[in-house]
This record gives sequence, structure tokens and C-alpha cells, in this order.
Amino acid sequence: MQPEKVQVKIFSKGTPDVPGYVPVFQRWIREHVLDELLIDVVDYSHVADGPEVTLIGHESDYVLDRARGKLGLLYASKRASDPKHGAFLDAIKRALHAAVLLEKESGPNPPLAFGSDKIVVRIADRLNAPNSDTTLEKVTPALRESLSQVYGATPFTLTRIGSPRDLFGVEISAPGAAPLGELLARLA
Amino acid sequence: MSATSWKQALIGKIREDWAREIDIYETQIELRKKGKLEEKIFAETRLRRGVYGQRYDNGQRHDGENSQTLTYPCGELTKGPMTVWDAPGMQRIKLPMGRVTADQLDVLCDLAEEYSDQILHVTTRQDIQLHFVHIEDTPDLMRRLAAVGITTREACGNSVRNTTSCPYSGVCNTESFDVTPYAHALTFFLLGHDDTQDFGRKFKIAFSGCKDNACGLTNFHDLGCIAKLREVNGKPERGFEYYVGGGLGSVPQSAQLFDEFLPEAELLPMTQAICRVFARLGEKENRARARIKFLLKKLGMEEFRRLVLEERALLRPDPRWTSYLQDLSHTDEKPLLAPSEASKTASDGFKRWQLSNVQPQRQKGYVTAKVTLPLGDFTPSQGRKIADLARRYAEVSLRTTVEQNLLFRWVPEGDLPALFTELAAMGLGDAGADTISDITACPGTDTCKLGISSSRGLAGELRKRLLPLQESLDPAASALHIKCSGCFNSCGQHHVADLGFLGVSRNVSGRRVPHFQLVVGGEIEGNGRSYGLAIGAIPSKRVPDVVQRLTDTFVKDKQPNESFAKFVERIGKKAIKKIVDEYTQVPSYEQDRSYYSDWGDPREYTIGDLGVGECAGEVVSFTQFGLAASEREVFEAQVLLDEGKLGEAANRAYSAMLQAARSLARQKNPNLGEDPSEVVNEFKTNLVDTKEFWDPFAGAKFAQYLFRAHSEGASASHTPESAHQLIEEAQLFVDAAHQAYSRIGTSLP
Repeated sequence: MQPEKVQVKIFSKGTPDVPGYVPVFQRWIREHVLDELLIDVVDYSHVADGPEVTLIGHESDYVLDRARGKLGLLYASKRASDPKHGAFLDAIKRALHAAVLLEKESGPNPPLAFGSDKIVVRIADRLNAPNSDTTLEKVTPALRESLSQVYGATPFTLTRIGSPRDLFGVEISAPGAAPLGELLARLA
Repeated sequence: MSATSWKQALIGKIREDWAREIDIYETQIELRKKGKLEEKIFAETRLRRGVYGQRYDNGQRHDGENSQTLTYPCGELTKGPMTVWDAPGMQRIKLPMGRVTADQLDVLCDLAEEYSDQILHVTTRQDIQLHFVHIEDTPDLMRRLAAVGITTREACGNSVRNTTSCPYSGVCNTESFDVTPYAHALTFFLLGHDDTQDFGRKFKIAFSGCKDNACGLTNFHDLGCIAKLREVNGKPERGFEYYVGGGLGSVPQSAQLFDEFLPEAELLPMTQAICRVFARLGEKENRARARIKFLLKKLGMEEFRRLVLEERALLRPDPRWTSYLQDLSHTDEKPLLAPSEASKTASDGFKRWQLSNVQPQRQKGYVTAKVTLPLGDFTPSQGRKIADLARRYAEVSLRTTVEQNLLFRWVPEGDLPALFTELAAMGLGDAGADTISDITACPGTDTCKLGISSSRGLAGELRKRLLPLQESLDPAASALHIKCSGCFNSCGQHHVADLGFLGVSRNVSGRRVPHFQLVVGGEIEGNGRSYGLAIGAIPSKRVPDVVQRLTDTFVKDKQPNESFAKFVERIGKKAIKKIVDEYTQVPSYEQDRSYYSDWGDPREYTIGDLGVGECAGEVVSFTQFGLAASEREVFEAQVLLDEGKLGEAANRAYSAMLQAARSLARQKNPNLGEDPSEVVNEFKTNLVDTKEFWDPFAGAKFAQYLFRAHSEGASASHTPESAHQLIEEAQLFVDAAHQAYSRIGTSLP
């Protein structure tokens, strides 16, 4: 199963200056930093444990997200593009690419730094991908194939997370995974 | 087999008429994509389903340096004038009286996660709004809402908007009676009613249980209904103090008393009569003067009342006017837990929250508890937890409020500490509901096409500064209300705040600087009984300092028990202006660039992103809508024919002709019902016999198509050829109806 509306969250280390990324995302729009249509930036930092700063795009959103108290970059695919290598790999690649770029931004203090040993993959489609073991069974082959390309020889595990009311979600744990830049380079 | 679409998955779970409406809307989307539905009609169609434009949807955005073109994949396709098809928009979701069940809230949260930006926003009209929604996701979004009893119909556009009411209705200690069943009946009576389809502008209704409190804010509504009891022959009789013509916007107007006691049985028909008069005589060309307040001003109350009463006498009786009165308890809520007493020990945090956010209900042992939502926002995760909490207390225990909060009802007093603990754990345990830190704000430049300054940015900044001061603030300062609007349209209801702000811009040495006009001394009490006065424009970045200074001055100089409005009245506008003037200077761009960007938005400020508002919608007449619907039916008939459903195809073609005929005929007889024979007779008498429908060359030929189809009836059997011919005739009939409308439309009464 190659679903649409795939989301990937890469978790942050430390306590970065999240509001400091509002001007960063504004500049990304101005300078067309990503290879997709970017539209606007919204600041929801007044909301607890949710999206704090979101870069809104047409195909996808990039969210500095603190859901469940854990800050990270959430890449959220919204409209079906035509990924050459499948929706999972496309989403992971775009998330990694944005995370690597964010780590390089020098303005915010302290800046974002991401770990590579854990990511969460979700599917925002309750009709076709409810949060169940059946969905896990269906998506596992395609997801494993994508993750193998990302992690290479590093072993990883998949654990379904959340309740049936939540979006389908899988936590991928890959202790000892290479830094984000290397992971991204493998997908180039 | 599992469902492959929400339409399929929800078969049988949606009211038939609602399901059909959404199917029609989805067809309209397809027609628009194929260029078969006029832009203007599609725009008003989607607006009337709550699908609203958002900032930058004209495909242009200023990035702080230059205006950029947002190149969407849809190319030239639009969803309204200067509105790019692919541009994200807002979905407004009507919650009549702000009522929302736990199951509905669960679905709203799912939708925010799947179609929006993971935030639910409570509006100043007790709606929920989702932002950054793609138009092609909206039919499924609507289906999922409809499956839990929510319709978005007429959430925007020139229609009757969400009915608001006091969130304490039914549990309030001072109300005359519970207005909920009346507001509910009126809402669903007017929803989609023929007499509400021809307005030149929107029409807003509010209900309040009592006159002196703030809750219903009836004074600034097109129609305001305040519950009232009187005694007749020793028996209590229910009715309403009935007001018309209030409104905020750039020309705020207090509602005028239409009837000091409108008996309950007259509520629906009298409102229907008002809608007819508004539809018939209200301004259609000049959108800025199209609200009913302008009609009232033009006619005067005496003449307006005379016309309404005359119209009332002509109305065809409708059993719905009074049928709901047989059982007014159907909107009652039943508590799920027994009442209990408050615990004697509690933390300081709980006590502070209890003081500002909790009120005793009329029903002993129960309280209401307000959840203070920052800027009216909450996340799906928070929403689901709120839904779970709500399930404990009553079948419907939640209401949204016009202050953009959520209200739990039927909470046993003894359960309050546990409720507080759970709310605090999800980051929603802030005290200070309805105090100075609980600031109301419209979307402003964040998402609104008309926003001039960042009302949400300002509100967020003020909240950040005021929240930590809560405990140290003088009670008089703490009790003040702040409301912010991004422009003069007043969606943030700044006129009825102690300290109101509306976004404006000023030119300083050739550069734009975001400002807010300060409006002081409005009163939210007495249903928003008086409006504040504009004092002067302040640079956005100095507004927090002005708030601090004015509240300090008020606390220091006020007389015992003096309200802020009275204080302003006593010391005078000049004195306030003198204080404010100290903050109006703008340093040069070279000295301090921060003044040249707005709160929460680091881009250099511009008003270049201002768009054309859709609030007013497009003026599309009942007839135009009807003709568009008949065209859509012809299209559907073709699809049915392709599927081999001959009988259904023929019936749909006949229905298209009836629809078109009724659309024209109803202009001459507003009482015209939906019975096919009645429609055909009326059409024949008023349009065919008078030759108004006659084609200049073909005469009555096209009218005969309808007459023949009608005489053959819905049960006639059809071959593929006969069905095909009927569809062609229907298309010709609809075209002829369009021609007739062009010829005679403007001369119709």
C-alpha cells in the first residue's frame, strides 16, 4: 500500500528557539528554498502541545510541532504529488531535507538539532488507513522497503502507536543511525 | 469490502436531504472545473456552504520585499472572482447556539488533522473555523460533519448566518426562560428557506435569556430576541423583546425595538416576514449599505413595521411556525452525574480558576466551567480530551462562546477539582476567562483577505504580557475587556469592549506602519448596550504600553464602583487622547525598524496583500440560483442516462424544468410552494399566458416541453431515445428560462 497524505516527524534535541524560525520560514518562501510551492507561515506558539510554527505549502506543510510534548519537525504531505519512489520515501526524503536545512540556520538561538535514531510516520487518512494492525500489515512492506534505503544496514523496528481515534502512526526506532545529512545523502 | 470514499462509507448515516445537498455541491465543483458553471454563481454557491476565501487566494503574496506570484498547479481555474482554485481557503462550520456534542467534537478534530492545519478555531459567532483547506476536500469534510448532525449550509454568503445565543441558556440564574428551543426552531426553519435566499447581505440573529447581562449581545444583531415573560389573566406567557437592525462594522448601529413583546407563536412567522421585506427592499447594488440596518434607517421603524406586518398577513400558514412549541423540552440537556458539593480543600491555582471561570447553575449542585482558549484556538488532541471530559457530564454539555472559549455545563461542583486538573494537564487550565487577559480577536491579517493589521498578533502579545500579571492586577483592571479587529468590519467586536482596537495603517515618510485605532468605553453588559468611541491611531508596537498606561490610570483615578465606560465619560475623550498621544510617535525606519512590521509577522508591513472580501459574497438572486440548479440537474440527467437509468434520467430532466420554472414564477408569487402542479399552473398563468416567457422566435415552444413532461408525469416509461429527447428539451427549456430572465429579470418585482 502506497498511501497519500503521509506525515513524518523527526524529533528535536535540546530546547531551541522555536519562534525564531518564523522569520526563517518567511525567508524560505521569499527565496524559494524548497522545491515546492510555499504559501504562508503561521505562529501557533500560544497553543500547548501542538503545532507551534507552521510553514504552509500547497503540496505539504512543515511544522515545528510539539504534539505530546515532544518537539520535532513534522512534514505533512497534503496533496498527492507524483513521487517517483513512493509516498513513504518521498515524505521521508522531504522531511530529512528540511531538517538538514533547519539545522544549518544560524539565526535562532539556540538552533534546532535533530536526532536520527527515531522518527514517526503517520497517515492522515482515517478512511483508507485507520490506526489498526490491519493497516500496519498493509503498509509494512512498502514502509520497510523505504526505511531500508534510509537506514541501510542499521537495524530498525516498527511499532504502531496511538489509539484507534488517532491517525495511523508508526514509531521507527533505529539506534545508532547515521546523522540526518548522511541519511539524506543515501536518498540522493 | 471496505469503503473507498467517504460518500460510500457514510451511506445511510446522513440525513437524505443533507446528503443530496452535498452531492449537488460536489457536482457543482465538477461543473466549475469543466467551465460549465459561472464563476460568480459558483463563488456564492460555495460561500453558502461555508467555503470561504483566505488571504493570498488571488495568487499574490508580499514577501516583505516584493509581491510574489503563487503559481498553483490549477493554472487559470478559479473558484470565484480573483480567487485561485488551488489556493487554500477557510471552512466555516456553523454550530447553532454554539452547541457541540462530544461526538461532533471528535469529528471536528479528525477534520482539522486530515484537511486543515491541525488547529480548530472558535469564532466570535460561536462557529468553528478550519483554515488552509483545499476546496476539493470540502465535500467529504461536509459529509463527515453531516453524519454527526452538522451542516455548513449558509455559514457564509448573503444568508442567515449562525444563530448565536447566551451559552448559559437553560442553566442561567437570571434568564426569563431557556431560549434554546426557540433559537433552534428558528435556525432550522430559516435554513435554506426560500424567503432567505434573496438577501443583498448577510443576516445575523442572536438570542438572550435576559436583558441586562452581556451574554447574547443582541444589540448589534440584525435580529435580536430577548426572552420575556408577561402575565395574562394570571397565567405566564412567553415572548420576546424583539429588536431589528443592529450591527457593528464601519457604521455601528444599535438595534431598534420592533415589538416589546412578540408572543412565542409569532417568532417564526414574524421573522419570515422580516426576511421577505429585507429580501425585497434591501439594497443589492451598494454592498456597503446592504445590511438591514440601512433599510431600517431609510424607511424608518414605523414604515418598516407596517411593511413587515403587511407581509406577515400575506404569509401562507406553515405548521412549523408553532409545531415545535408542543415540546420545548427536546433541546433540554440531562445531566449524567448527580449533583455534589464543592470540596473544602483546594489548591491556589484551582481557586483562581474557579473564581474567574466557574459559575453556579440554576440547578443546585451544578456549575458551568469555562475553558479559556488562547485566541480561540485548540488542537485536535486537546479537543478529543475535552470531548472525553464532556461525555461525563451531559449528552450535550459543551457550548462555544462569542468570547472564543468553550463552556462545560452540568458539572457537579464536587467534580470541579478533577476537571481543573485534567484541563491543566492538557494546557487549558488558565484562569482569567472574560477578564483583561482573555482577549477576543478576529483572524485579521493572519488569514483574512480584508485584514489591515494583525489582530491575532496583537491579542497574542497582550495575552502573553497580561496573563502573568493576573494575580497582581487590581480587580478593576482585571475585569476590563479587550477586543481586537483587524479592520473596520468589526469581526472582533471591538465596539463593545472597554478597550477596543481596530486595525488601520498609516504612512510614515513613505513607508506603511501598522496601527490600531483605539476605541474606548464600549459596554458589553446589557447585551452590548453601548459602543465605544475612537480616540486615535496608535502604532501596533506601542499598543501594549497604551493598555498598561490606561489601566493604571483607571485604577488610580476611578471612583468607587465606577465602570471603565463611566470613567471615560467622566474624564472625557480629550483626557484619554492626551494620554494616548504620548504613544503615537513613530521613529524613523533607520532608527527602529520594528515599528514597520506587525506583531507575529517579521515581514516588512504592507497593505498590498489586501484582497476583495467575500464576507458580502456575490449578489446572486434566488432565480439565478434556481437556474444554476436546473442546469446542474440537466447534467445529472445526462449522467443517469449514460448509466442506463432511463426513468431516473427522465425524472431528473423534468425536475430541471420544474426548478427553472419555479425560479422564475416565484419572483411573481413569493408564496409559491413546491407542488409540481402548482408550479406549472403559476408558471403558465404568470409567464406563459402573459407571453413573458415566450421566445422572440419560437414563441411558447419551450414552455410546451414542460407542460408535456408534466402531463406525462413521473411514472411515464422511457426508451433511451425518449429519455434522451426529454433531456434535450430540458436543456432547451433551461436555456429559454435564462433568456427570459435576462429579458424580464430586472422588471420583475
